[in-house]
Amino acid sequence: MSKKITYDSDKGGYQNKVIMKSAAIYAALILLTLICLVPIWILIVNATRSHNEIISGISLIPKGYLAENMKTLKENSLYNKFFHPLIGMRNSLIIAGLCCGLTVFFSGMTAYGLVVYDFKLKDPAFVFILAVMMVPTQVTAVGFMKLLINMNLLDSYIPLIVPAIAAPAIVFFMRQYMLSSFPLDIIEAARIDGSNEFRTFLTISIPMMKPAFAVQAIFAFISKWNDYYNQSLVLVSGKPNQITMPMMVQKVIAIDRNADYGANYTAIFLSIIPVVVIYIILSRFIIGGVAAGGVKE
Amino acid sequence: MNKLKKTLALIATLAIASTAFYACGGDTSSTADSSSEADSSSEAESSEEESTEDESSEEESSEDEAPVEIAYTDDGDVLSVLCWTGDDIEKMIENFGNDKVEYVNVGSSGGEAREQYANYFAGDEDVDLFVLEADWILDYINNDEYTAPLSTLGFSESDFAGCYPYTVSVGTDNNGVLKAASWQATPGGYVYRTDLAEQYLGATTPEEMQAFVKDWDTFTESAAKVKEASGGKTAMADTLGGMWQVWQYNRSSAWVDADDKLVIDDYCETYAELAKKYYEEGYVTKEDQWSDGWYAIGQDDSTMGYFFCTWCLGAGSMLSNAEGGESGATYGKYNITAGPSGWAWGGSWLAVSPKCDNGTLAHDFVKYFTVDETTEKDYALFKSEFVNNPTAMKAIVDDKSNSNALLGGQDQFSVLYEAAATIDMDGKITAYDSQIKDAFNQAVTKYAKGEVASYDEMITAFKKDAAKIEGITVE
Amino acid sequence: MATAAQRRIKSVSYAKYGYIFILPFFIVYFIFSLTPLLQTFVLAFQENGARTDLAWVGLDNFKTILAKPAENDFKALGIHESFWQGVINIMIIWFGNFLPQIALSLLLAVWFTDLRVKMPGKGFFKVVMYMPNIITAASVAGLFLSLFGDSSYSVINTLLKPDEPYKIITSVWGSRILVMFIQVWMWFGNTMIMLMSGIQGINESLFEAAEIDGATSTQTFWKITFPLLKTIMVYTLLTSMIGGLQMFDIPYMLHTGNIVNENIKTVAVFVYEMFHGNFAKPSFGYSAAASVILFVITSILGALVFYVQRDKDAIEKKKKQKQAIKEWKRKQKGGGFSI
Repeated sequence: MSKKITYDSDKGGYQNKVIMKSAAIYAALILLTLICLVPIWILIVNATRSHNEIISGISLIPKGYLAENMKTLKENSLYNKFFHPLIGMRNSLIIAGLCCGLTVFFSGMTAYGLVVYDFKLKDPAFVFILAVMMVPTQVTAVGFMKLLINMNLLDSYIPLIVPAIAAPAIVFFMRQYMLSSFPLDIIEAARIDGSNEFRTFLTISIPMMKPAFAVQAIFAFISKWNDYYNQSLVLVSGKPNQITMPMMVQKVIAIDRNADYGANYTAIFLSIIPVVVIYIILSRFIIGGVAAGGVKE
Repeated sequence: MNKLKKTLALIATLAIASTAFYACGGDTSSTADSSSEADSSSEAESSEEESTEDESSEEESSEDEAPVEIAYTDDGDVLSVLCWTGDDIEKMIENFGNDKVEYVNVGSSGGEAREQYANYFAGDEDVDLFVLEADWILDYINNDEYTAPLSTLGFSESDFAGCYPYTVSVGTDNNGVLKAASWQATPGGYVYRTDLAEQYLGATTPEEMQAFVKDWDTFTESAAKVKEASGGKTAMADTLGGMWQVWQYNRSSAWVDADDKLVIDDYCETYAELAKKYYEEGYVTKEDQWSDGWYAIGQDDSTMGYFFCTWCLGAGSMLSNAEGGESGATYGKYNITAGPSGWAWGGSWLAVSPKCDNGTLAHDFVKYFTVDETTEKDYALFKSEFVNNPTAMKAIVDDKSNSNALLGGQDQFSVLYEAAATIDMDGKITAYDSQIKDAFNQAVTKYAKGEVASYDEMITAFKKDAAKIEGITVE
Repeated sequence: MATAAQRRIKSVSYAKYGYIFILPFFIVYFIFSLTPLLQTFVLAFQENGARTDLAWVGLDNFKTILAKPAENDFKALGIHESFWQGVINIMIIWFGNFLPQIALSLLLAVWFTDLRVKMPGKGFFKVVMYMPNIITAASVAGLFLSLFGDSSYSVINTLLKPDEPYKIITSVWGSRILVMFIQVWMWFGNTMIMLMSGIQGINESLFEAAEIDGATSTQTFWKITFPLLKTIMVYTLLTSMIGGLQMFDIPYMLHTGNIVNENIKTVAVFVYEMFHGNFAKPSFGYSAAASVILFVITSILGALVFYVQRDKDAIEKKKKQKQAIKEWKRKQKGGGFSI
């Protein structure tokens, strides 16, 4: 920076500018917040309304039917045969949680391999990862099902969890992240200190990549939580103690006659709660914890 | 380095191995199937039965009195009934009262179950019976890998003599073999607002109302009257989609001929022009079926009535929604009448898997569910839905005890009973129906709404759309 | 003078660790994903109308989709036209979704990471912006249909009470703009967080130094944030491009009744419909061929993105490589290695 604006002389105007700017930003953010929240608010409000209120139109004012709707979900045989929110949440947590952990760890590891080391197949490997990322997935269902049938893995969590180890897009993200902000010198330093490669990765690199890990953990968790398509393919028999939250919600939504919309919305509402909680917990890492891991010079 | 080479070699083998798996995927499933047939230790018997049916599917009455012969073992722990919502099945199982019967939810909608069944069957999970939907029943009953003739459960066609004949013909495959039986018939009618009918048309009873809607010409005249009398506020029909439900059933022939060639006849033009006229004149509301407005028009005088079928009339069903529930503005203000033409909507069938391992129980359950008069009657009263048994339905109608609060106490079965007798689907359903119907309805809707300029243009668009369906030819 | 540790470093080849680190990924990928993926390419060259024992048809499927068919060949016309309609739709929707999304996300990410903008509830805003992404697409489509549906009872039509109800969903541009809006609404938070993580990965002392030097926000952005964010930007560009071109959920579900709105029908929807439409006689061939074409388009655009950003990266890398080679040669000659 050759142009030097002295901090002291301009202090007053500068402060004012900051305040003005902050106010403008603040207004814009509030507007965005409203746009983001209104539809979700409607969804939540609907969970507190009765069936007849819902079919008569949208409202922004909560009513007192939530308990009633919960009761319907619990007692009406149309719902309670398959809608067990606690079991669904447990199953979804197992799948989304393990996927999230595996995908972040192994993607980090793969990216680390691609960035830190030089080897003959490095570029081909990266190009391969990029290429498979670009293949549309709609057509792969038949092949995937045949594979699972041959491996006898239908109605198993394995094909829902293990493939998370190989997530091309996340590897790509981690690689780009490391390229932009990972100081390779630190690895040299660790080597000199006698640290072996895996320990370097585990104890030095992972903490430094915390923001990337946290971001991808959130994305992975939420996308796996909501991954109705694959879950319904693999858990083909829909066993009540095995199915996941989105599968249950989908069954609720699919009740096309005699449905109680209040109960339907309550089911959707219940399915969102854990995701929001997890998101808020994990987002702390992005919001607050970055500086802790970074390289201080 | 050696280690690495070994691992890479291992990966390569794995990749090759899995491709190999894939390549013989089709074969494995068919061998598995034939072996399971052999397991049932009655290969000869079932093939014999099939051949008799091939010769003459109608001549089965000689077997009538013969003791039931079932081609399956009774080894299975449970009788698994596959379906997508346990709604109907659950109640039946409860009434059936045998703990060995369980239902399995495969997919969450009919469309999903259609694909998921095939995957389910390819695995080694237990399957004995499964439910099929009218729209895609032909996919499965025409495939011997998935469905076995009902004769393997010891049924002959005469066992279903007490059912509505159309349910039997729908459950029969292309070779004339009976493969599926239904517990419900799904006749529909015209459900109208009694207060508006009296105000605008002067009709005070369903019989009087029927005179105003007895055929499409009269229906159109009445629509004009209602429009004038209401100052254009009230339409006669609910939605284009609702009208289509009636018309899609009323084709004189199948959508494709024997060579799978698309049939475009006068019917197409008649309906397209009618739909356009109704839409432009306001004889039908401008709402879409299944949209928010579909129910709303039932409470604010926007429509005289709806085309609803049997399963739209129970508590908490579509009619209930259209009335706004018990506290709604039009609760109980509707009546049902036959309407301009008889029609049916949807329906479900039970089929048996060649992998069945609970023969006797499966036989009993199918019999209980689809043939037994008493149990079907109970079901009709309990669910307020029409069952596949004219005798049972007649008994309910004669008893005069059924009253539907949504219809102001009217017995919907007395009207539907007459409608059901006219349902005829013989030779009219094809494996392509759901897609062809969607394509045609889309084309007509666009024409009616003025998005397509002429009838010819509409037909061209329809042809292009229908031609995309694999297997049919379009000229 | 080389210590023992340094000597060890010199003699050890680290290449094998590269392989070890990427091995789990490739093993799992080969087991679970490779065969289904290869099948897409195989199916593209096979016939339609069956589920097993498919015959090879060469390039026929591609011809039907790409070449202009005869006037009376309704089948080819139907497939050809709806594929190209899908291509046009996706291009339009993608631009209208992608540009505003990137701009908005970047702006927000900079605001949120700007040390000078002090605002209460920063954390709250960050959480809220991501919220739309946690709801499943089916619920989102349902919500927007009740808000902006054609029905005279939809929220927009009840609030504004036009003489003739607005028909956004059936109108060509109305539906497209709505899809663009929904896509931005659903994904800008996601993109924003990604960019934020990239910005936060930038050494904080750089920002501090800039602030002390009195750099304005704009200067900081263009001189520090943007260049250092470049690799993450490439990722964002590429993934949102892929996601955009393969957009499926919202276009597939934003309609009433059971017919997909053809003004927003994307290539992915075309692929899906051909694949799942007819169970007994599926059109796997056309579906897979369309997928392959989509893949080729995506790859070309992807390569373009890489090419555009490659310049500095690659040059720098090459320089380093040259240096390394030089060093290595020097070592071969017996030169000492010292740090």
